Amino acid sequence: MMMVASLAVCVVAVTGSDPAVFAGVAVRGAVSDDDVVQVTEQLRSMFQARGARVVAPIENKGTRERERRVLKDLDDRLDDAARAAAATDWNGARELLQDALALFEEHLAFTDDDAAWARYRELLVLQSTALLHVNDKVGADQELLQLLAVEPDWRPKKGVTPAAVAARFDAVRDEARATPPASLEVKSRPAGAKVLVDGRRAGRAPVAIELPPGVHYVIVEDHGRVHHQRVVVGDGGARVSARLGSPELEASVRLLAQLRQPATKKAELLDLASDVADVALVAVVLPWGRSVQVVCARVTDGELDAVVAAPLPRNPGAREKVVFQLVEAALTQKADGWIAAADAAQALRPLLLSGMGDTSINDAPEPAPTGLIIGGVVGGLVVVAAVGLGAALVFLNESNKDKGFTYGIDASALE
Amino acid sequence: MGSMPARWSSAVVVVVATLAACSPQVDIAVVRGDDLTELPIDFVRFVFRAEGEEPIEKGPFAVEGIPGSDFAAVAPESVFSVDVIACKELDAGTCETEDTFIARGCAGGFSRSRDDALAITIELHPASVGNAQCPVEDPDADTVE
Repeated sequence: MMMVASLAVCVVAVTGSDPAVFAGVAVRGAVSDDDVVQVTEQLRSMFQARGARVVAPIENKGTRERERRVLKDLDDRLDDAARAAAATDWNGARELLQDALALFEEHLAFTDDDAAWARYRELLVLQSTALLHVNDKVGADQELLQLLAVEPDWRPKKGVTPAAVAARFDAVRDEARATPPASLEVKSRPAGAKVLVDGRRAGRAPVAIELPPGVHYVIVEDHGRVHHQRVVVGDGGARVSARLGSPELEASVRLLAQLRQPATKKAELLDLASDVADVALVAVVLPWGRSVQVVCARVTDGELDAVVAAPLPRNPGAREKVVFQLVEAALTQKADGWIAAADAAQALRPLLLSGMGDTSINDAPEPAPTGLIIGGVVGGLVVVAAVGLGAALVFLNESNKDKGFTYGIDASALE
Repeated sequence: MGSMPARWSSAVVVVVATLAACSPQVDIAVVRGDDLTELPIDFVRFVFRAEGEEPIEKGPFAVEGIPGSDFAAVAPESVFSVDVIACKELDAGTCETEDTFIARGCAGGFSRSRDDALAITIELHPASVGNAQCPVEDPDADTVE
């Protein structure tokens, strides 16, 4: 598992009666990519579920994890479409492919992941095949033209590409070659953002790219501030103007950058958090044995009014529950405190500002959930009480044996 | 099936041991005689009589509310009898004198050591029959008198 030596901080802001604002996640110390991705995703989704507004910079690692999940879904839909095609259910196949395309455009089109783009090409070939079988030659050609728009060097593969598509391909390629390329101009504010078109690097904005007309997927990215856009490039070309970031996002980026440092002064934290919103919540993710700790602080009107933290269990279900409790506490708790742990609350603020976690724990014990602790205490008391009562009864019974006997009556026959 | 947590299994052991230790030493079953099949019985009371001791009165109890277990101060090795008296009502004076009993039964001549278990079955009969049989005569009564 690849380890990263970086700092992760999450920032959430709650402005008075306005919705809470979730501003970001980072990690400090040697925390695994998987932990970063999982914790980031859970914090984002749970703060959002609790009404928080998310302005957090995009975490590439989190995006990758989401893309992996969506890719599996896309594979399933393509498999279903292929089965429908094999059963000559061409209309059914087309519907499934439309669903697959929607999924791709929503979640995968703005990535440089080769696997995702390979699925897109497969999708277009299957769509073209289905259209040819329902005698929609124009539609089939459009799919192949789109394929050549995003992948001009694509060629049919013998034994892989359906024969009907392979037969149409030469004519479509000739049409594509006969069409002059169009210009796609991409600008960004601030300038200098990285530009990706159809999953490939295309320089830094401002930039003009020559490409075949068709649908193209453009990403403009600068330090976690991302703009993505589906662009229909016609013969006359197209323009993309990306305004990256917002005052809240910019403030969050600065806050996160500060908290990535080995140590942060409390005054700096408060100033930067106040720039994010009237009420901001900041969380630092730290290594903890083979797992992580998350420390979240809430800054209200320039005051650090609560710091809550939790060591996260490795078990996914237990981890999700603890993160949920942490989010709830970060939004509502009035005083410092640990969630699912019994450490001293006084240690929380130093941990937030300069803690580097503890990687020396070889096998960190799973933190006992609060309910289990309470249950254990209550259970212990029950056992002690039961033992005490039992001993008293036994002693009393033994003592009474010298004076008489206990008796039981069964008079059920009289009822 | 999952294993029981250690603390709960410990508690179960304690409870079982306690129940075992506190289980009745004398089990008394009260049944109807053949001559008492139809008569409704609402209340019963019990009288334990041990030689040389004052009778020990228990009840009256509603038939459906008889305590599951109780203690009778009848010393080990004492010879004792059990008298069960049944009544229909519990108005003033009822279930106190023989003319207010509706059924009765008894058994006697029991003796047990400190740790012995004993099972006793007492058959109830109409009061006219039961009053004639009960209480069980103290075998030494004549000698005492």
